[in-house]
Amino acid sequence: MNIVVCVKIAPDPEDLEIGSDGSVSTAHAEWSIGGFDLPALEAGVRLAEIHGGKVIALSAGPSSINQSKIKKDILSRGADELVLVVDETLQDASTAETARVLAAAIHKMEDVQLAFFGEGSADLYFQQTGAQVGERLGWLCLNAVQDVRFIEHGMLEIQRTLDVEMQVLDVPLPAALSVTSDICEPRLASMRAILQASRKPVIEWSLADIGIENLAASVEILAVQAPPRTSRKGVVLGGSVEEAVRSLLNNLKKEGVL
Amino acid sequence: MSGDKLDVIVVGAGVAGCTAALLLARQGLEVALIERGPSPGSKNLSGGVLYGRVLHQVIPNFWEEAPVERWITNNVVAFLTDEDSFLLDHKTQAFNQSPYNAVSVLRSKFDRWLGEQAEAAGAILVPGIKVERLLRDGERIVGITAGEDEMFADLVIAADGANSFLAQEAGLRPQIPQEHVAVGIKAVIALPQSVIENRFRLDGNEGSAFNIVGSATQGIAGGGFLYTNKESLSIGLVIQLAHLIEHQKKASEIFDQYLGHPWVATLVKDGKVVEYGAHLVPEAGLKMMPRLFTDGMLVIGDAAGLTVNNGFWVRGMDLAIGSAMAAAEAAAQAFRNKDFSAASLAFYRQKLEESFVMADLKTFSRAPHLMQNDRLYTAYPQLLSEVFRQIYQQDARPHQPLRQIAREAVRRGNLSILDLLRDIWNGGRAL
Amino acid sequence: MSDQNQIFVISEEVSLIGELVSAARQLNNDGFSTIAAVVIGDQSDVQRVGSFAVDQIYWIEQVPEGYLVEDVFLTLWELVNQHKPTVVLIGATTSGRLICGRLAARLDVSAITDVRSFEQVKDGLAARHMIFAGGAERLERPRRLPVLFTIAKGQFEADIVQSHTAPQVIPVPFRLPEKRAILRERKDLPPLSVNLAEAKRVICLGRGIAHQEDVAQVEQLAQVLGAEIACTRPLSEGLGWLPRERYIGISGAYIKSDLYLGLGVSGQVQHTIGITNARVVVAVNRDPDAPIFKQADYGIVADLYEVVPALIQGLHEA
Repeated sequence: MNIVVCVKIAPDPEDLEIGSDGSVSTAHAEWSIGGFDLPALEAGVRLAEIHGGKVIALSAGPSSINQSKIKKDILSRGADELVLVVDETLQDASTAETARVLAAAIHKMEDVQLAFFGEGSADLYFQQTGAQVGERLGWLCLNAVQDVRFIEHGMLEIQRTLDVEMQVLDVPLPAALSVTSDICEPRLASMRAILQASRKPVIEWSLADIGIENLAASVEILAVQAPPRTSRKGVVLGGSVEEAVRSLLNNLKKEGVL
Repeated sequence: MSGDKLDVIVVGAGVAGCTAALLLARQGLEVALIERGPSPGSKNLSGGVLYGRVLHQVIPNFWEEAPVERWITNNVVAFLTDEDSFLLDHKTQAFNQSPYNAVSVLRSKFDRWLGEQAEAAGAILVPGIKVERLLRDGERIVGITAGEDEMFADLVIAADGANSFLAQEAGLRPQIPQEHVAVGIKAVIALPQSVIENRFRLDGNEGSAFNIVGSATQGIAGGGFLYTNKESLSIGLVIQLAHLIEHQKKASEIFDQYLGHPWVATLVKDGKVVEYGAHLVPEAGLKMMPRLFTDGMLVIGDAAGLTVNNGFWVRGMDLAIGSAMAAAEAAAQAFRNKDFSAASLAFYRQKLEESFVMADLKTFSRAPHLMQNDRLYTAYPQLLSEVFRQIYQQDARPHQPLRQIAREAVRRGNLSILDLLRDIWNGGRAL
Repeated sequence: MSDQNQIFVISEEVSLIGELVSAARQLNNDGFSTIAAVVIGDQSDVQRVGSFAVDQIYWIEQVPEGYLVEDVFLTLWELVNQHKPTVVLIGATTSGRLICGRLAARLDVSAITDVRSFEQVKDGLAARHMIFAGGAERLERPRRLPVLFTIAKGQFEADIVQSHTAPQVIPVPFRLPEKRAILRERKDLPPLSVNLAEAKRVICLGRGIAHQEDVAQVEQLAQVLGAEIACTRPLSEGLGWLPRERYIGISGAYIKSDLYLGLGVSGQVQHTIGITNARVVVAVNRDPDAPIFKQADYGIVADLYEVVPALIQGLHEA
């Protein structure tokens, strides 16, 4: 039984450039695997190491995801195969389109009954993909999964951490699980793993290959801007520590805070 | 490839390593290119000028695809005193056309591209891995280790840079003595393209390369450089490590003062520092060259001490490429004969000697000594400045003849005619 | 009644329903739609929701033994299918997110999650959502109906309306799903030590705090000041010095306090996004170039280990 792990390859939020007019740009950003997706991949790989089966990493996006460095990175972390669905219309795709594409791709794979997702994508963080893909496939969907193990063939025991509650659940396959970022620590790729990565298969599918003719955008993006900053006084109080503190307390009294 | 053995392991994906991997992959060999940084170029620092004719031999017209900045059409030597400057400024259109004599580059972009070319040719890039030790079978080098993993190969090529520990571990070179090492400090300062073109009087993609001597380094042996990129300046200093220690100064202090020097300041005005770093530069040329090969291993690039700084230009990248080409030829022969012994690999040294690499190192073998001459950094800039000021000065008194001006300037500068003559003689021989 | 558009408001947490209703009212300022709340609970919950002045309450009595609250999905789906609301607002809790995703998939729409504000635009309703870890904000308009938003606690304020028409209460039976995860065991996690969103004064610790033991020193200041202790993400998720509910930032708490005092906080955008609604921001940091100073009202460039005792003394004297 194979496990698919969905990862998003997107511009690294750390590389965001903000213009003086509040405009934002990812034109010079490095693309990378989402930070929340790495624990999901590790979780899938560990489960397969115990129970057998292939781990198929799956990602969908525009041509920028098709970079040798990134593909090697994914495959050096334990995935056996990488499937990429590449199409320019997937640039800035909203959750419905992404879920539709990923579900169609998983549907085309053989003997996959379990899908892992990170808690959210590094760039957009809608936290929807796992639930939407699972539901489209007609599988059981769960989020906030903090631990997964097989208790028998076709049945998982998972631990789920909600806001004030911890749950232990029996989950029959097939299932789509969105995992927490602390489910496990992603491994550092060893030299051997990186070497081996270059020999693992990378399969590229077009939208047509997975039976999608028309991917209409479900959302219109009206604006992308740096969030409005509350304008602050920016007063730096000088002098010795005692003087600055005295000045601060006076100001706070004047502000009515003290 | 059988099991876990490769044909060649190249350690270090700088200019030498990437070129070697590229050439070897083209020969159909299974090559792993191991780099400790997250990507090639991330751990490299160069002043930033590549004398590219040799790369053109490996990748014809590489400037069409590679991320190069500007064609270096203007070459300037600047002698600076605290307040004055004296420049030799050469510009030629011959350098403004293909095949370009020299191009400015930014290593993180350039090496990355070069690594991609090696991958495209079939080399396996292994980033983010630090090689820890060599593996031996008796005297022969048979592979490397990193973490818990071992990798075996018929040939290991050490391209791990100025402080190559592989060359040391293989017993090819002892710990580098201080007087053979310099510290290079560099900043990349962003400026709009139009400002650069205006300020340096560049048309289109023309570019300038400055070599700066004098008070820029507070009288400490070393030189400054400034190169124009498309939208930034690469500016830095190369300072002799031993002198730095002797004068008890910090490299960063000297660098800050350098940027603040009035002449330098006008060139970097309103720019924004976007990168800053320091790196060791092997400076002693022939004197510092380690043994370049042993059973199962070759040493190329900065790891082999292949740089030349003659005060007019600093070259490292093109020599690295030249050494990679020689290494590739030696490797080809070794694989043909299935002989990886030192005797077989001596062919590398031979190819090196036949090429411009060794020839230039020999020609400029005295340059390091010249560059360590304190007078170059203090007295001579002062002398030049004095002399020319006097030549141009008109103060309503009788104008002195040139020979008198020169004589007096020399006397005032506490220079002996003997020193002057000796320096001119040595300069002539070194250059 | 059935001809009017409905706005559905859903959360397993009754208090959150109040906030969602306020949001719904903002959406509904032309009064065109009715607001219907889906309540899972008992009679007192229904009464409480009634006080938010909704028009309808779909009352699902309880989650059967061994079932999850998310298993209400089938019931919900039938309601949505039957009544075809134009807007569905879901409380952004863990369960809410799951329900939202499943609903979005069946409806073939994209949900906009963690909506911070919205506006009516030319072609419909648009909402704002943070992207790039707080680095940017996106205004987006769903093209298809129903519009699906999730809204987190603390973005809107619940209004208790004094006199209102009693809502129409419609009991809805819990439809058991065929496929489900079986709840074997559940455990209440220790209650949250604090709700920073309600704190009047907050002292936030950053990387400038060198040792875990130093937190005690700051606690002394917190006591004198009557403030809650908070931190940046590395001190909580990374070092584990403070529990998760105490960290302020993009995936943590957002505060609305009168005073925020940052000690050794550098001011990265992933953190400061959580303090935009604080009234007065004070920063103490050794590094004059720390970005926090531009985002503060008052700043002191000094060692926090000197400032803290001085503050304690100054407050005692006052």
